[in-house]
Amino acid sequence: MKMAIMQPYFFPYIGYFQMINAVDKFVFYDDVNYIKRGWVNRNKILINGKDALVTVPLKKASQNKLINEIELSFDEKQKRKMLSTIELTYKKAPFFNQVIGVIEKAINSDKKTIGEYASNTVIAMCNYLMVNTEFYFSSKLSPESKGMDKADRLIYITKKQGSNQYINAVGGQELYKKDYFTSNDVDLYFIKPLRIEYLQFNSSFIPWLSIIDVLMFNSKEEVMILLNKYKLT
Amino acid sequence: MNVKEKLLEVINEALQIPPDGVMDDEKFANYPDFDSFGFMMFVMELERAFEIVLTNDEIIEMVSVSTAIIIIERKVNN
Repeated sequence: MKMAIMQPYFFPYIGYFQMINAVDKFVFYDDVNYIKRGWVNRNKILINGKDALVTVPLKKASQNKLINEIELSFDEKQKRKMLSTIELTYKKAPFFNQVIGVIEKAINSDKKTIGEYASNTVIAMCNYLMVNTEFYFSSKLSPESKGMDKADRLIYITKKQGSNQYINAVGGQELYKKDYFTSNDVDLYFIKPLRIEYLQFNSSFIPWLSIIDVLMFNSKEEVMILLNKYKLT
Repeated sequence: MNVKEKLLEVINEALQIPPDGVMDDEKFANYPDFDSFGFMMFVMELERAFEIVLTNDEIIEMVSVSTAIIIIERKVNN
């Protein structure tokens, strides 16, 4: 049984969903420190042929707080504005009508913290795509492991779930060593997305935008094919 | 724009670290905001910016600006 553990991100790019689709159980790592310059509360969409950030405003976000402690500062007016930006941008995209309702529901969600809010955008997209991976939250699944060394905690949570295979993003090699995981009876794999390209209106292709962009320009069946375009080592 | 300038632009874009906050030999993993997902985004942006495809070994080898420049120059010149 394969597992992955990753911080929740707001409508993340397709590589995040490839990881989810590659495992049986996915744990939102929501009780680790918020990354101020990371992707927890923002992502990029296509606006006027260029990539542009959409950001969920937060209350007193700080690297000293955990992701599940930081509340949103995202009122109804701001949600409407974000939604209308997405609608204006993508209204002529081929799959706009199929997916806009799901995106709208996720943006209008009344989740209070960025941990819950961002993970809800991920779960909503997986439900739309009918990805069957089971979701968990580290804060609920394994609060007793908080404070452990990074690698030890991932190993602990993986084993606690009865798994012996852990998949991490390819950037994690500097942090996590295969030998160390193996010596703790867990096989560590790294996932790297292969180059993905699809038609975005008639402009030159801008890769690695939010899953919103992927879903606007691809059918569910096409997205499922893209979810398998990765290399596991 | 040379390789280093373009690389710093990608770091600024993907990791949100301005060029003056980056030291050539400092490990990416030591950046306060480093996480594997952010680094994966950085790798993707790097491949796009330099029109290269990095192997797993090259990604492992690429631990700092200095090593990234060596790898990118090797790829671009081949």
